[in-house]
Amino acid sequence: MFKSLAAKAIVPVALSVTCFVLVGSILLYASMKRDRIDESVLHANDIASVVLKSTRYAMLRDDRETLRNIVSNVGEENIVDHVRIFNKQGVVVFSGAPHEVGQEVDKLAEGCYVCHAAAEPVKTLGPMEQARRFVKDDGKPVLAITAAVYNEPECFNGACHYHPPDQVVLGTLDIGLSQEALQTTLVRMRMRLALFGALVLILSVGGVAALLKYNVVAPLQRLVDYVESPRAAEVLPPAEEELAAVARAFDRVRGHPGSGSDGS
Amino acid sequence: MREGDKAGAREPGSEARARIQQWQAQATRPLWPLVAFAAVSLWAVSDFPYLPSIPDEWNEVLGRPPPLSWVNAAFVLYLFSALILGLTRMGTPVKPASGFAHVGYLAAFYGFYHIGGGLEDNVWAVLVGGFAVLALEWYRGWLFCRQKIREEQEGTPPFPPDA
Repeated sequence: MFKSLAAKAIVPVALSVTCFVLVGSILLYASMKRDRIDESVLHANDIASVVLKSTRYAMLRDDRETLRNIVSNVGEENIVDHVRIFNKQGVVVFSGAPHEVGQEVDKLAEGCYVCHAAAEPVKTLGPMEQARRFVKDDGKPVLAITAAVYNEPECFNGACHYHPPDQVVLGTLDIGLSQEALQTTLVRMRMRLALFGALVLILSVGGVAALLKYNVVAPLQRLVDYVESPRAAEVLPPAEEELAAVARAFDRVRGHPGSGSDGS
Repeated sequence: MREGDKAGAREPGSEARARIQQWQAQATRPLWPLVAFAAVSLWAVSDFPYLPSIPDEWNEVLGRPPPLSWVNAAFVLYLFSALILGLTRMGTPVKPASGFAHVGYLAAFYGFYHIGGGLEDNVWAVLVGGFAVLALEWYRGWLFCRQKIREEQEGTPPFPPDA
């Protein structure tokens, strides 16, 4: 099978093109996936920032009823998986799910240890470090952002407040956003890339095979038929210049001119 | 003596027979580079278990890993060059290398993806690309050996003797 001219020409090209297209598709998909995830992290950071800004005034006023309402309303959004505000001790003070209020989280749990791994907690994090991705027990992917609520002059100078000025972080907002839409987009992207790769493969491998068959294999077969024919005049030699020259040379060896000698 | 019979070539002598056996053994030798690559790939797919982590002092000396986009670009360049070289040398008198050098390059790419944090997404790209390069090298080696056997059987080498 591998000894034929067609196999020798097609197998290496088909293997190389197939693998290169496959590798290119995988790398392209991985890059696009990373870009989309980075984008969604920045978007989630923006949402966390909006939630913090919208609760700022209520926090300054120590208006817990308004805060509870804001958090509850945000938590009802379809895209929001969970939203909680912890105090400095790690106790849930406000949450979109009321049963979580009063629960204490382990500071070494995922999402907390980034800051609390060392004895002295980290005070500030970049947008990418604030994010964590996980899959819930029901299989739903979630992107969560942990954003600190920082102390401000308005907080420790206010008449109603008791936060000391040297306390940098007052609490933490933890908001989780559903990543189902992103996963659907990635699956669609993967399917499109697979389809594109398959079309490129069919076009390149099929094109090479067809060209080889009509331009090389078939004319060679005509030459073989011409040479093996007992009377050369009965079979026309191939029209291709190089093979016609071989046919004429064979005629000279055979000792009598055939159709190939007329230079056709 | 298949092709030789048809071409009316002379019967190969004992030295030629020994050389033919040598080429035949080379043509059918086990695919050790592919086996080695498969072993490294298995290790990489499972995210290099039992690989000791780099000490912090070394990390400080080495600095940050290269961005994944650079590793991707380098890998595409390597793969493209290896495939083009493999294809253009197909059927030429250049004796193919064993392929272990490629296993080294591919293992290095696994390493760069691992330290860059992109192994999970890109491991299949290196696996498929590596398989293509090594399979092409093996096929080139096989064709080369077949060509040498035919030369010995026919006694009319189409390649220069020193090739």
